[in-house]
Amino acid sequence: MENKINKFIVKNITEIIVVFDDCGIISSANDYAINEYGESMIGKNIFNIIDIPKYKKYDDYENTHTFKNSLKEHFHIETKVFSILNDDNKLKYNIIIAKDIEKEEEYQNQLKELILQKESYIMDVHHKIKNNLQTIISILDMWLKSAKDNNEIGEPCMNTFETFVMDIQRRIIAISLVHSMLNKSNYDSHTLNINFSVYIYNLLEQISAFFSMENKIIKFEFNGKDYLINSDRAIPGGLIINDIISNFYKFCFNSKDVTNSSIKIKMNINKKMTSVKLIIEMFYISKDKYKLPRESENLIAGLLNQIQATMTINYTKNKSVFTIIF
Amino acid sequence: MPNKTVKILYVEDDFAIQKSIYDVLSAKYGVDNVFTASNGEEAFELYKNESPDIVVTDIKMPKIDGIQLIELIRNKDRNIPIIIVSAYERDVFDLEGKPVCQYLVKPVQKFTLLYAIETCLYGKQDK
Repeated sequence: MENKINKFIVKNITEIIVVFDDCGIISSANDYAINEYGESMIGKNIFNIIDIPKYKKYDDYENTHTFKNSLKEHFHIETKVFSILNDDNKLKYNIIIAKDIEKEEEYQNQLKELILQKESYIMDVHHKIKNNLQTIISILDMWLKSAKDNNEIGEPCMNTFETFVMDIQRRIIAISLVHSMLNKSNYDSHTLNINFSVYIYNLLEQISAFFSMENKIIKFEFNGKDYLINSDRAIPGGLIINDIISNFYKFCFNSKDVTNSSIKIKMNINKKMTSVKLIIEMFYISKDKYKLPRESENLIAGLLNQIQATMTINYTKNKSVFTIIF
Repeated sequence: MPNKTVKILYVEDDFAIQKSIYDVLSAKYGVDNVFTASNGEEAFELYKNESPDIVVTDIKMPKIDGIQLIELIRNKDRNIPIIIVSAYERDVFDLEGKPVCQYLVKPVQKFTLLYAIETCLYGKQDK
């Protein structure tokens, strides 16, 4: 599509460029001008073709004029004329650059249509991705139901299996949120950058909503700042945050003695706006310490490596702090 | 939670999505109370025959799409709660004059949908 638009632009340069001397004799002209005139313009007098005034020198002259082709047809053109001078300030030659107003308008409309078409294709792609992710979530639900109904997995393993399926579903949601943001107008269509702060907030809301379905809720406080991140980095980043937060929810809700749990997340952006430090603080009261499960540790290590991010963890009594530099 | 029987009309053209959501809804509201359709035309017939309490619909569907379905339903009932579940973002469609109770963007987890249904039927839920 990008290539199609570029070709369209090159093919549709609607500017007449003509070089002429002090008498008005044309020494060269671009293909578009020759094409519009109908035969070679070289050697013809510019004043018989475009009704510009005769000056000794043109000092960035601009106006609207009429272009007359070899068939005596007339076109309205926006004209700019300027003179190129020698070192001794004498005229070397004049250049006229003119735009066919009607063709330009037609071209602009076609270009707008192509861009709209491109945006519509992009929207459809994101729509299809999100729909396919929904299908995967649904298949996982069907698989879970079938395993339960047919008692395919013994009762003790069923909870683990259910947790496993839900973990996957939450990861899918984390990925889909990026596509949701790329589908909206709040991203840069050239760089595919999204606002990381908005993304993290949406992700936290989704995780919180997921657990609050079972009347389980943890207060979270998010102090975000606008920071653009490429979607290629946002997805692994989101998966890391998802695992840290979701596991904390599970830790709080699976153990009866955990109380007073809350989450604080702060974003610090460096001065050059090249990296962001995310500090995730988790507070709770319990005899146990919250630690990331081994499988999450492995996943997070791989994702950090993928996007060349770093993470430090500080587990203390009643508080776990994750500091990630993206 | 109120014990009144709730009738739900669920409209979705994707088989896997329809089947999994049907399983969730029928487990909660009973198999006799959940009606499924794969397009707006089928859905409107079910709506007229079954008088559901709530409609959950996708938008992009063959024959009559979700927006047209909402328009047909709204011509008959201004108050029935309608939930849209679509992979398109909300701002893509003109919902002027076609009020909906909730707009959920796919992918949606079953808990999110159930919570949205309960909220539309009974107001904000206690967390």
